[in-house]
Amino acid sequence: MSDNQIKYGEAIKEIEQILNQIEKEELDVDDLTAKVKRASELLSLCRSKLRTTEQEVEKIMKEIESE
Amino acid sequence: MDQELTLLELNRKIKDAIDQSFPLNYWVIAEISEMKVNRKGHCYLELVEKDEADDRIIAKARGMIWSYTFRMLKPYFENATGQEFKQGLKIMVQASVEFHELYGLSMHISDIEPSYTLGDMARKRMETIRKLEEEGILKMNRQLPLAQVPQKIAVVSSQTAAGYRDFMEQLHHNPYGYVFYAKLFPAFMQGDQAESSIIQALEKIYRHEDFFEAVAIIRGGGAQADLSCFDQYTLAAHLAQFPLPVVSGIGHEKDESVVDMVAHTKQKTPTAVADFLVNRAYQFEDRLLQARDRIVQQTNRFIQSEQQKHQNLSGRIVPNVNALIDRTKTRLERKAEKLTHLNQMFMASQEQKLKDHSSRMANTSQNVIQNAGYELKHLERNFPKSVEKYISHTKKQLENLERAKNHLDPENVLKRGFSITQLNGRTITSADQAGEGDVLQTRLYKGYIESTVNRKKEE
Repeated sequence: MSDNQIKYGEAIKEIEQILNQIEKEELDVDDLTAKVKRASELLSLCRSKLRTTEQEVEKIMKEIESE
Repeated sequence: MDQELTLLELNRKIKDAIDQSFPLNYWVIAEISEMKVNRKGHCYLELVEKDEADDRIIAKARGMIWSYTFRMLKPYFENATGQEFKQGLKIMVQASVEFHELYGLSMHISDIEPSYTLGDMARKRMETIRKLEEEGILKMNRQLPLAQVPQKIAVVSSQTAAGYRDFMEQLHHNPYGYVFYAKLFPAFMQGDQAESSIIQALEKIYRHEDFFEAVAIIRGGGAQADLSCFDQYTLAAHLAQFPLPVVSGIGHEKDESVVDMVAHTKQKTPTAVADFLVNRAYQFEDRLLQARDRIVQQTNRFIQSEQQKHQNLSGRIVPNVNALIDRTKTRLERKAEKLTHLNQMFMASQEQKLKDHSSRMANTSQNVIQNAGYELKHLERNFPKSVEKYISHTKKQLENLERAKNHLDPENVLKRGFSITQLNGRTITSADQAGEGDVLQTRLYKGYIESTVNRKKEE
């Protein structure tokens, strides 16, 4: 999943799933490390998408403008 | 009766007859089918009555309002109904019946009853709602899923409207720095052309249905504007069935409009629509941060308990292994003794017969003992090694985990020079949350600072 393709709904679902697994203490140290890393990635992708203007989207907006 | 009359004479007779037959003022219910105001300010109307069933015109008459009456009646009516005095309205007026020799029959209007028109509008509105309900589309838009964070918004509004500017301002300068993409699709937001021009704007948006995540239909200002277009069936039906969720901010002061009723989400004003969108993004981020905090917390707990477990394990495992080795050694020694003893007895009793076999037998016994001894040594050498290997692997994974967790930990943001500003124990994110003279606590990576607000600048 690249930066601009991340979907908020799917991301939060995955993060909360990871949290759920961690809280149920279902994971061993190897799995846990991988999952925490994944959650960290998803979090920063989402937060950056909330605040970063995407060139691709701006371009589409301009195209709609010129119709 | 063969006396001839001139037309004027005839018309005078008609006038007399009418004056005698209709000496009073009458309250008349009719629909305005045409309306004109001339230069002098007199208002000329064409009044009709339609058949309830098929809308056919079944009566028609001319009506007029003298300018000095019209100057008062028009604002009186419009204030009371919130509705422009125009054609298409059903009205109840007080009128006298006049016949003029030259101009013919007309009704001279002297008063109007706005509550009749209000009632008629309410009835029509109810009918529209009932129709939408019967067609099963009244709640259609409300059932569409709204994106977690709708950032791409198609805006239906008038470019010059104050409400549109307020909306854009509020949306783009939100205190959290969220990005929104708002594209205006201009339309008239009041008057006769509103309905068709809004529908045209919707058709344009429909072509980009996959791109946008929501439609905001907003209108602001103009307290007494004519908003009857937002109760019209065709517009409401379009919005109800639109494939994107619609957020309305039309700014009605009285009841909600039919457009508000069919919208996915109804807000009072354009600013409130912007707040709604910003707040939705904020709630999403808050959910993210809560999950993050809990992951950090749980991972810390996990690391601590794992470390404890490993300390316990390595503390217990070495003495246990030593004891196991000791026990095995003792058992083996005892076995060796026993075997030697048996061997001797066996050899003694059968010395003669098995003299040639005895040396081989002894060899075999010794081999058994020797092999067991080797295995024991191997165990002694290798078992602690593999335990150590396991412990060091786990330790390494724990370190990785700690690193991954640290990425999420707010402590590290502080370490990089950011700080958290609090007022009365609550974190604040905007200057308007603090007043002059307030005492703020600033949390740094190391320690706290307390300071007083002297001056502030709001954005």
